[in-house]
Amino acid sequence: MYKFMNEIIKIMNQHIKGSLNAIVLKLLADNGRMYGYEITQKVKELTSDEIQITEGALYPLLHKLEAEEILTTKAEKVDGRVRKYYEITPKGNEVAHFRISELAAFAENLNRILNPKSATI
Amino acid sequence: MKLNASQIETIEYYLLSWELKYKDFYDEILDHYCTDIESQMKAGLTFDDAFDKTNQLFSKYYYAKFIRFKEPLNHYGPKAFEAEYVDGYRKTFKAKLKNHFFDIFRTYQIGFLGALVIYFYYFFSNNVFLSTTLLMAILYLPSIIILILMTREHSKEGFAWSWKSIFFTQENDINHKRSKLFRNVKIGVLQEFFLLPITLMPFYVPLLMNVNKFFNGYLSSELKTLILSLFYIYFGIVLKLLLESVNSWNLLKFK
Repeated sequence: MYKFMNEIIKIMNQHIKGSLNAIVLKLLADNGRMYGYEITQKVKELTSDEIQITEGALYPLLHKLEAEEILTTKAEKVDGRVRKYYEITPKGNEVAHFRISELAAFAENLNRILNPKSATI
Repeated sequence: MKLNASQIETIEYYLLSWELKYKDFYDEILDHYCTDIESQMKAGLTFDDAFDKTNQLFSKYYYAKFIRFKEPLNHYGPKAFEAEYVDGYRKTFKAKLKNHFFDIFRTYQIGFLGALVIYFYYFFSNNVFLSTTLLMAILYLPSIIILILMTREHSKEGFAWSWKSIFFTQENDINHKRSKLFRNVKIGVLQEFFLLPITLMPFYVPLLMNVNKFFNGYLSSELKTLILSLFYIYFGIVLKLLLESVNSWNLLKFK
């Protein structure tokens, strides 16, 4: 059973990688503005350490979204050093909304397949 | 637990040894290092252990940049993050150039372009020196001003930029290395699009005139007009993108 659970977590992590941008956008939509380190910590906290967003996946994604103008950044001085905050742009709002609802639909479909009974109730 | 100055300097030395080029990326990664190490030290680790642990998060990363007909450029560690960041902007700007180019033919700008084409045609069929100088004055001087503005470094006092900082500091000096960082990835990439054609301009505009004289009768004025118009469109779009970036740039907003 334990082995099986490990498999599931592995598969889940793979899916997470695919839908990472929706997760990041959801976090930013909920929290307003966040910085890179905060996002990694928040994801760990929300999923009780089961899902690991590595820095190698997160920063390239944030930079890509920034280049696509879905996110915008603002630098601010905190504790004597410059901190870079990410925020969703008005233009990015639509994209964020779409990607989040896509992810929700995916999760719902998956749930329906895995638990056919609960879905019919 | 807050890091002390010498600990922060250790991190800075390490990061700068990766030959990072951009200040905004450097600031971001430095902040991540500091915050991560501080939180680990709060949990009871020593600075060295925490530093090692944080390093592992970044040092394994690998990014390869593929260039046509050449060996791929491999980047590792923090530099790989930066290289990928820069490449992302390159792709975006290339796509934007393409979009803006086709936009010109869909909007009122087509009228302006038409007037310009007539001007160029007139220039090529008459070989007027004045029109070249005018063209250069219109394009070249503002571009130089923008380029100088872009390379400025920010400091606590606001903007400070001097040749002294480039020539009269020791290579190993951490302040020197820090001051050599370019301000912003976005602007840096745009400068790449801009720099080469602009710096070559004093050479190729007279050359264009000579070629024009030399090939008088060989290469048709229409073709030359087309080439120059395409040049002008390219510059116009890059300049527009630049001005947009400068606008969205939060100048002097460090509080």
